[in-house]
Amino acid sequence: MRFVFAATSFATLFALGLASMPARAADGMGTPYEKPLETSGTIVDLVCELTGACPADCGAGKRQLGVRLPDGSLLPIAKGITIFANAIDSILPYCGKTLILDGLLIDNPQMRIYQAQRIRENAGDKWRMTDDFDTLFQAKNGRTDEWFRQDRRVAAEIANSGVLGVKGLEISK
Amino acid sequence: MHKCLAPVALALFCAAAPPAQAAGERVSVEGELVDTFCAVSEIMFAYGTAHHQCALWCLAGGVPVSIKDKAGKFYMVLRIDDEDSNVAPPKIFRLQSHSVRVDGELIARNGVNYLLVSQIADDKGLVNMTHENLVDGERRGIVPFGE
Repeated sequence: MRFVFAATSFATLFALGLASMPARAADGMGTPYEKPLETSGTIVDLVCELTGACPADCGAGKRQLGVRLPDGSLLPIAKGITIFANAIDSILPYCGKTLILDGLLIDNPQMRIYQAQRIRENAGDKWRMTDDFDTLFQAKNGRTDEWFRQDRRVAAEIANSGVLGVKGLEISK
Repeated sequence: MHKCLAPVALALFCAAAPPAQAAGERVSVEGELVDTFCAVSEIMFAYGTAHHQCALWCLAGGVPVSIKDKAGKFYMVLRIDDEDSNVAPPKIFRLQSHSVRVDGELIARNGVNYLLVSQIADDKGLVNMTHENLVDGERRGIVPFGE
């Protein structure tokens, strides 16, 4: 069995390119379920919303976040604009507040998730990209174009199990 | 006097109480731990050994983890054992891409199955050897970047 990757490779490269793009957001990635979606809603801690267990400040970075939309529905935010990273650092300051978000709804029938690409508090405000993860990572770890290659937790796991996740397993040439 | 105030006090209490939370359903789920964004969006092939490194990167970046079962259903994991965080929980770094069976509480809401895992009942390890069959132009065995 062979996996064909031409289309997905293009989509991947396009998505990776998003990380370095300037002000334009809600750009598509060429994926099958995506729908541009600008919406507003209340930023919530998903576990709090579902169970009533609500730590202060939406978990202060330890909880996955979502947006409660005006119709009362709950939409989990799974991705920001930084490559391989969620938008938690950018959205957390708005815990419990109403925020305007622009991005992509991934409307897969098996699961609906949202990529928040940019945010603002009021309609007249300038959009902010959801790239605080990268800014904070660089502040803690030094300047890098590819934060994910510098992450110590990933490095430790790859040192333990290899890039394929199985000790001793290698890619055949 | 007290009897007269009781209904008022009850009404005030009800008005101040938080909205009722849905009770979860006890379930056992079996499937692969995956990076939610890559798998659900289908931006790239997102399973097994071929995607393991990328799945670790997304885990470190705070992208939620899900379990995909054999029927193709996704379950977003919002709690894992006794971890106090569901953002890059340390335990998942060792489990990412593994095939597991977990026990927990399922709460379905607006097209998403949320799972609060109370116990990892079985960990089969990373058994989905997708790198063996992956061909992506000059890149072989691993996505993205082929390294």
